[in-house]
Amino acid sequence: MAESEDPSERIDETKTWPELAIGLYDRLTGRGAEIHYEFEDMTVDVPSKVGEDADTAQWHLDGKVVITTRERE
Amino acid sequence: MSDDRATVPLTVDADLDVEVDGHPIRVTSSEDRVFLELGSVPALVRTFRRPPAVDLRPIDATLRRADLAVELRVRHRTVAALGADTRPSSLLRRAGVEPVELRLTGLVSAIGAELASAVGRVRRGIRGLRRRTESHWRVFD
Repeated sequence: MAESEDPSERIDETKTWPELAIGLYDRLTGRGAEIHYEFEDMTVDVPSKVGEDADTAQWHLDGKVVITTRERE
Repeated sequence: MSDDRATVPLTVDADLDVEVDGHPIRVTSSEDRVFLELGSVPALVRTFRRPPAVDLRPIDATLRRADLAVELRVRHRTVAALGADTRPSSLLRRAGVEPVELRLTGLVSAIGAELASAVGRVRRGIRGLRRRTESHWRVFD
């Protein structure tokens, strides 16, 4: 992945979970934003990969995650 | 990717309860560290008996760019870490798991705490059994 790629294009081309995380990271850092996730007893079947033959694991989430940019020390 | 200009440090504030196929993982954080806490060594074995088919290298690279690290903890001891300020373990690399840093001291300490907890449970069980037996015999006195 080249540095010049558009982050939004990168998310559209996502094939794996790490790629999705990297795409989200680029969106966050590219716009100096803050991401708030709040989960209330959410259950989701998470596929191991893209495709029909993917195994799934059932994830249950409850709580919050906040990601913000930080000044370099 | 390692260029400082492409690196933006992030802070994570997490307070999350996660269950993966019924196995609980507590997620907390301390500014640039995210902790995945498992309650016991058997829980660690159960959760990672079938490790996820995920290439950890791009995740490690992203964490380093964000100056973040993820620590896997058992009984409040870090047993493995990924991301900023971690050193990939050659032992795990040979096992095909990279670039995770294995914290052997933490793992041994967690196993010790697990054994101490098991011994404590057995002792409490024996004490309870002894008390019940003594009170049983007092009834017949």
